[in-house]
Amino acid sequence: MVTYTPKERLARALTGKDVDRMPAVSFTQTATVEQMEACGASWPEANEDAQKMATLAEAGHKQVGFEAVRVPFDITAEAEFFGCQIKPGTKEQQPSVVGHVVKDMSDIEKLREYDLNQGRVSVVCDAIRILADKYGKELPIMGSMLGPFSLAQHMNGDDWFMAIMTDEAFGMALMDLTTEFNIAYAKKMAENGADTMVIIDPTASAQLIGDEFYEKFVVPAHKKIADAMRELGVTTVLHICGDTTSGLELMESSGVDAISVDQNVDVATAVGKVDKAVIVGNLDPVNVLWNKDPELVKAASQKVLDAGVGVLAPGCGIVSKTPTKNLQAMVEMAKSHKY
Amino acid sequence: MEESEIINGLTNAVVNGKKDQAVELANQALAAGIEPYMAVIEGLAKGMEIMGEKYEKKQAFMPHLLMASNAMYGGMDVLTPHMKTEGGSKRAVLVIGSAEGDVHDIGKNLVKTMMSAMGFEAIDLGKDVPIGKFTEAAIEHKADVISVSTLMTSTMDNMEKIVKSFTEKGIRDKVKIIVGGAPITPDYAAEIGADTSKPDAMEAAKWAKEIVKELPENRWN
Repeated sequence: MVTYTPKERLARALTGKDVDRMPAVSFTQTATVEQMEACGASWPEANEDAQKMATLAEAGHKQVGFEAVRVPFDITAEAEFFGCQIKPGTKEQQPSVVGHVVKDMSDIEKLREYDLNQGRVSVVCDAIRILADKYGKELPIMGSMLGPFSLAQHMNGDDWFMAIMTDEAFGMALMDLTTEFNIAYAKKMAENGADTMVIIDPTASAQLIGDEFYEKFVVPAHKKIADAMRELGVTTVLHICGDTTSGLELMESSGVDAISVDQNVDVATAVGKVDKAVIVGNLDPVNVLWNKDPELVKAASQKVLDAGVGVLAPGCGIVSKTPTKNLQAMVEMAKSHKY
Repeated sequence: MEESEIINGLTNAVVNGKKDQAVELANQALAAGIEPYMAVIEGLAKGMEIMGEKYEKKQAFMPHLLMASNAMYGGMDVLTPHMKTEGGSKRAVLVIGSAEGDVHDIGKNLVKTMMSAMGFEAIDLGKDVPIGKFTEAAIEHKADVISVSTLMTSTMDNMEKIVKSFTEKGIRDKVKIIVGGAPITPDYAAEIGADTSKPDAMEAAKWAKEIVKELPENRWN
């Protein structure tokens, strides 16, 4: 029987090719306090320092058994790059965006020139390089980034949800800026060794903004990113929070390889709604992975596997206080699953 | 303009998300001697209720709700200062905020909007609210309903601490507590001793309107 390296296995599983068994990975953030204590690299320093970031990402593989390494652990580096004010994180909590930098067209114009060798986006690329040098032949190297719609919301604030309705030209201009940035940043991560790109776009949800706005503002942006990644042989995973069931066809129309769904989505329904896209997810990170025990994690995993999920994974970012043994139970369930 | 025309106009201004129109009609309502409370409840709030229902039926989305909310508050800013405080029935009081550590407030703002539309007087503590502020505000304003939200799993513990702080102050039975946000489920709400969690702002507001009837009237005296 053919066996694959974890890197080959994930790439094949995400593109719908035959594999020997299910890969055991997380498409959303992997770091936990237990891993931090075991590897000596903790938040918030591991968000700022490439070596520490790589060490903590590696702990997901070494301590938990994930068959991939993944950076970063938060979704604020992109807004920070454009000058948004950040509330710093702690050992248990990720940083948050609290200030916004774009009010009108002239603000967009001022942000068109940038240098990706600056700021935390550059740290992430360095961490990817460290991980790729060490594991690049064997393990998938996952990069993740905040998607263009949510980045636009971070830059514009909550007014963004009205701007897409009241000022289409402004909305489109800001989406152009964020999409171009996302493409350039994703390419740079790929150049440094990332082979899998997770686009996390929590607020770009058809459930929140409706199909019409989603199709107009979000699909073309995600398509450009997916196309750019395909050219480089990088697989793409799109994660959007909430009950995305009714928006799955639109999400797939962007051409991403896989769609990560959270615990509000019924996996069997989701699998039935997409054409080619691989559905991944959707263990509840709070009510299963964090607050239950390994036996219940296994039972919940079995349900998701029985529903026909493409790759079993957490439905959203792993909670920092999640016990390693619960994550290991999920890993074990994925590894022992054959398609 | 007829009284009913102004009232309907206020409703329409909210439904269509026209803040300027809502402000203008609110001023006309005052000039025409319409009871401000009625202009709010039967005009503005009714429009917001219609939008809440449209949201539930997926005929309206976040952008439309925010536009409507803006229009409602535009009108309310004109009308509220003229509302009579003495006599009549006291409005139910809502104390609302995002849990300490959480900087998100769009969901919280929608809950506030829908509850305001249901007639609540909203005391908005904002986002990233220190735990003790909730009991402080509840006592000061003789609150009926407390609403706490968080979008972040890392701040769920603080939500639990907020609920506990009401028990510690001996005022847990004086208020109804609703918790919400993406990671929050009704099971979790029960676990931490809150009264409920609802899937969206409209459901939350409907629940709040009904549940306040269970609270004894003179419990804060």
